[in-house]
Amino acid sequence: MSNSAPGETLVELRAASVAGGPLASPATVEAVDWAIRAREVWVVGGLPGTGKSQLLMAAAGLLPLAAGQLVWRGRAFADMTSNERIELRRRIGFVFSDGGRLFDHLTVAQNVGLPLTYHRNCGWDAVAEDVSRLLDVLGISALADALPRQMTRNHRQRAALARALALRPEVLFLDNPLAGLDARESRWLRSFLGCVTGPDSPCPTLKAVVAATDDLRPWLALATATAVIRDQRFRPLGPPEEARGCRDRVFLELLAEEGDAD
Amino acid sequence: MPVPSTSSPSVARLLRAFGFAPRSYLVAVGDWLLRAIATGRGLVAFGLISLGVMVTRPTASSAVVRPLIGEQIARAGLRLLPMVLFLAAALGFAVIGQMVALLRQVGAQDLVGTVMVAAVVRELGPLVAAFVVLLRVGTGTVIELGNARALGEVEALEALGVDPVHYLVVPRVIGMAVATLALTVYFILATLCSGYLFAFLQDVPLTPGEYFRQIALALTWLDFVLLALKAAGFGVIIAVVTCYQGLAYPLRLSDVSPTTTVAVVASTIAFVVLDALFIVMYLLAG
Repeated sequence: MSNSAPGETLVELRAASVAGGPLASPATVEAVDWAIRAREVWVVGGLPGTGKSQLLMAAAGLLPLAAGQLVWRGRAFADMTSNERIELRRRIGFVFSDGGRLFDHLTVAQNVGLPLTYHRNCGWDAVAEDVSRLLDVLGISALADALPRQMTRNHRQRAALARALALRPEVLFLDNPLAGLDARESRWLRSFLGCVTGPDSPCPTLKAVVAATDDLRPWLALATATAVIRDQRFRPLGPPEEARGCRDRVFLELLAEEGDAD
Repeated sequence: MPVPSTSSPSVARLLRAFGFAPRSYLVAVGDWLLRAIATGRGLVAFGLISLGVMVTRPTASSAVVRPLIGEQIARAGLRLLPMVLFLAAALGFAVIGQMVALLRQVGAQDLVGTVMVAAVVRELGPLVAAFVVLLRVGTGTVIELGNARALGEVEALEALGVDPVHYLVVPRVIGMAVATLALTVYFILATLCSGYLFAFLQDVPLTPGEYFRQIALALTWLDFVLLALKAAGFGVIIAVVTCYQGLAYPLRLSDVSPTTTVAVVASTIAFVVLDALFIVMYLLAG
């Protein structure tokens, strides 16, 4: 992330309302004004069912907005042609929650290689080296020929991250990536994200990372900007050191250790 | 004392006797019609979108899409060939052979070719092949894509910049069109051969040369063109309808049966409509 101009706005939601989505939940986030800039690591907290996933999907252009605008580098998403949208999606990596939605009928290597073969219009052999390098970086080379259903949740999450990084995105969205991971894997993932957002990143094109979570504690050391969703509103709280001083009810609840609330 | 009303229409009384209140029956019919219209509109829109992707991106990502088309041809064509040949043999023995023998008995042996072309080439061949593909592959497609939708794989494709219509639908449309056409040709050839075999076993005095000569004489170039268009059209219908039903909503376990039934019914209705159009074309062509 060091090679990007400071403050360059990559993704922007203007007066956006987000509703619906794959969960068919009534979760709605309204009047969102949010700019994701280069060199930023956002962590968006919210209680379960408040619309974090929908907000991330909308910011990634995967869920149509109920109102407002999604803007990518100053260009409105709504004005883009279908080919321009496909081109945009290549610059955005998205790791879904619950095991990353890997394709069950493809092996790990094929899951990671699919976007490469599709966009480069080439066969599996032509992308084998890139896939192998990515799996190596993520520490799952030994599972290249495994099917997702044969893997643990930890490894599925790593494979999903490898697939999201395959196209060398500029912005990486992670939807509750630590959910269901054991403590050791959670530490590894955060350390890896610290590495990809650092100066010696294995993905030098990456300029910003956005993570949604229902537990803010593990993220505060990594984040440069925080926000919570409360009462159907997106509320930016600033950098973690500023946010720690705020008295936002949801922020405090998401920071609370187990048992603190009692 | 209340006097029993005698003014109720007899149809309404009959409906009530079978548990249908007239108003609710009308509402149910109305609902069904509105749903059918909405499904029809959705299918047409989905078909046009698929066609648009095929036209605007004919060679895009061909290294990925071509093997998928090959898979679909193998799945809907090659793997169904034994079943289609079995049906062709059975139909040839049961119907065509008897027809040949009957025409011979009534002295209409000169009409063998014409009857064969009208019955097998124009109607039975494409329809039987299409129904086999619909029931063996189409229903599976609804479940497969509905499951993919429910698991969020469609959004995952979009997130990777992979157009779901290009990746999931286009290979099925092309694959099923080619497979249905190929199965139709094999079905026709096998039916004609088994039909002759049955006639031969019944000692019908008709030489193979004469039998196939009559069929060849009855065939025109238009038959080949319309046969290809019709069979491929049936394949396209199966793919569009089943992909639409699979991708329209995330399927839950309880949705599998009704959605699959809707796909079969919608495809059958579309087959009948397309078949009627081709009959008109045959009639116009004389």
